Amino acid sequence: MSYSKILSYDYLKLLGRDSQTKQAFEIFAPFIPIKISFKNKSSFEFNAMVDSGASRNLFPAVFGEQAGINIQKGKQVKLLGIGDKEIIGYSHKINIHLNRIAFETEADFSFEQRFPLLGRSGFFNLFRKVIFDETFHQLQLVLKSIGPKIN
Amino acid sequence: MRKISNPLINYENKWVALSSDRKKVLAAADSVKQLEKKARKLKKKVVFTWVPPFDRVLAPYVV
Repeated sequence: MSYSKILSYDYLKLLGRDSQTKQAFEIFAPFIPIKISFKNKSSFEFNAMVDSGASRNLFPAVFGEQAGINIQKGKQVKLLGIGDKEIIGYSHKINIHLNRIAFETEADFSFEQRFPLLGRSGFFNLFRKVIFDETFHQLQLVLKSIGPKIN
Repeated sequence: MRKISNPLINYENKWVALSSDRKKVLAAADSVKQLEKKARKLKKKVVFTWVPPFDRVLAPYVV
């Protein structure tokens, strides 16, 4: 099967509310639809935020459980985020699926995390370039020349 | 005053199952496990998304 060397995704339109006027407004955020698999079992597809500030991939544990992962059997890691808040995660080798392309990688899963995050090690490093187009609200993933597995 | 037509407007702080083009909400629930049950009945390709509270700034590590 042939595929484009660039994967493009429109940003997801989330919502905010002005604290003074109470008016809602739209926020464009780089969330892309992915699913994960472990051995032969897959999660549902879910929106994950492409986050250049995240060192590694971090997913809510529930999506790992959908893929049949025994979360707490993974290597335990301590994860530090904003406000010096520390949470516990568990690392596992998984596949991340974008459209019909599977990427072998690793992710941390936490019972204390609600936003799925795609970080630099384990996601950004799978691509030649990751482009945030803030004018057209689009994310572009430029594939490396050595292609990944295709389902 | 401009009215927002965003499909997520009625789902603040909920988990939603979006259509595969991410333009329509097909189901909503308070947790992923509850949403899973609803999504299986739909028998359609869906994309799970958490809709953060609208009065919070998007910061990934907020639990």
